[in-house]
Amino acid sequence: MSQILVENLSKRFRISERSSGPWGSVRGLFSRKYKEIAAVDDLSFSIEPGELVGYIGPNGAGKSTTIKMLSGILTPSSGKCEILGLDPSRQRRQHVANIGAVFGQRTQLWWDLPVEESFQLLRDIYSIPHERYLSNRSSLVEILQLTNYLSTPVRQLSLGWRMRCELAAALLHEPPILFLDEPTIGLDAVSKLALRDHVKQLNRERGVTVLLTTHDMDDIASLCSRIMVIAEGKSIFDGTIEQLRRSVSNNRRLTVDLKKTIDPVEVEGAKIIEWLPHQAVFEYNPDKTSTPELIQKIATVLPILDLKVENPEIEKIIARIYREQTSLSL
Amino acid sequence: MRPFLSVLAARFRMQLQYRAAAMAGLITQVFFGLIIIMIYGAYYENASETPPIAYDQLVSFVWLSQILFAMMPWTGAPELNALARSGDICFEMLRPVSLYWRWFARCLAWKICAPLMRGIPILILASAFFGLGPPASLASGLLFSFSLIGIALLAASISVIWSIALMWTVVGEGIRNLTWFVVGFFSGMMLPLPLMSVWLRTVCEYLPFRGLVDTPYRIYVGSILPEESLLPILIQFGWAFALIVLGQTMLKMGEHRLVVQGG
Repeated sequence: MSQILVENLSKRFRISERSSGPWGSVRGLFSRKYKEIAAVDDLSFSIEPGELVGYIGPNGAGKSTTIKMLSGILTPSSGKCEILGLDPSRQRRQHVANIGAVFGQRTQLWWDLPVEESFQLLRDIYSIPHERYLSNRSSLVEILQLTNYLSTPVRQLSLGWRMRCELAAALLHEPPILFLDEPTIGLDAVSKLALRDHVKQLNRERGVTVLLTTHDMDDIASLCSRIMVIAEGKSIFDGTIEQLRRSVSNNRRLTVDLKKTIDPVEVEGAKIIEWLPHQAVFEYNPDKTSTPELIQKIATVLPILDLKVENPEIEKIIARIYREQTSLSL
Repeated sequence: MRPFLSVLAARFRMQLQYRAAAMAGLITQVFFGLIIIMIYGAYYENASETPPIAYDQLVSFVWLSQILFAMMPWTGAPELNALARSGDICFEMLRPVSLYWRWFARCLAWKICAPLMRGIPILILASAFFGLGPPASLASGLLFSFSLIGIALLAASISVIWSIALMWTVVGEGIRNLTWFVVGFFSGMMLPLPLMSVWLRTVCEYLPFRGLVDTPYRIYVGSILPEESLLPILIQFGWAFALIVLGQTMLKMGEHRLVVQGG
């Protein structure tokens, strides 16, 4: 059975519209016009235990609204949401014991207290039995390498270490499900990589189901076996990265470094994207022209110094999907 | 109970870190205490009729107000105010135990710890040098200690309400200016109730704020005699209870609004 089940989930907000100008705000005092917008619109998906799912979309697409509904802190306008058999918003108290959450720009640790004390507080809030607490704490401290930071007040931690502590805090009560909302925002490269490794390890070793929202496509590429893309409240893609790539364009790029400057030469089965004095870039469809075939052809006409075959960057693919989606609805 | 005691203890430890603020508060409080007493001194010397509260009692009253100044619910706890205003309060809802009691525990710890840190030094200074007398009698002392618990409960329930009220406003400044006045005036801290005109005093006697200053301090100095103190103490605890219920209701309404409409 699915761990997370979402069917036709929608959330509509009423936003008051104010007419512009000085009279507009006066009029606003007496009568207000409301506009209804759908932040999440007829969303359906299901997630199995142990999946690591990336949930992406442009700003304002409805990601956070979805996460809030899944956490039970926002009631859906319509549709169904069931997590481990519970309705998050109606059975919130029971439900929140089953989830852990990290929100990148917020902290659930107590700012002025040492990390350890925040952990103890969570132990009491979740009524974690003492032995369980000790074993969870020590395994998280080991995985996240927190030993040296436990007695530091949270306000003195760097963002990277704070996020690792947040992750530990979210998992102390052994929730089977973890929501990560932009956990890598503002992190430096080292911390980002470390955090990703930890999430991967926690997913593998503890079987935690992870739903991750992020704007960092490297997070997605290195962590998630499955991606869901949402734009303007609607789900526009659900599948693997490979499928996502194919759905946009299967084309690859071949970059050729040249020994000497020559004039552009057309090669059959490939399109010239860029021609620089010492470099030429081609785009081709590997289903029509195989890579070795193309290289052979090119080798006969161009003085090759070096070659590089690339998939289009995931970042660019996503940007293209976002753009197409918004231009469609405009 | 355990989760809330744990929150209480944590907030208490958090407050202990603000030693510099406590030190600054201490100096201000001693300074203000001395000035207020001088003003009353001038007033009492030139009074045409005998004031309803003796000068010595008034001096002790003023020192008590300075010792327990930090216990007054002037505003909501700073960290809770920030959460309520920004809408981040919704993340506080991700816990399996009551939000109200977690907040109440925080405010209670804050209201107990802050006056301990700056109050005890003032207590020592004021009773050694500045005319703070002992309780009027043993019974007065015991009843005062009991009503101190009432102050703590009342102060915590009021400060939680101030924080919750911020869920409905964009800027908290307005509420804060109002709360300082309401608490300071109606509790009797600015002007002791016996010195007020009759109608105003009657109003104040039935408002919740009296239990913060008037009731306990006057029991201490003997302006309310032990045999008269049952009703005021009952009013004090009754209000604390009522405001806890009010706070819970307000928070439920606020939560409902958040949950339905979003931050």
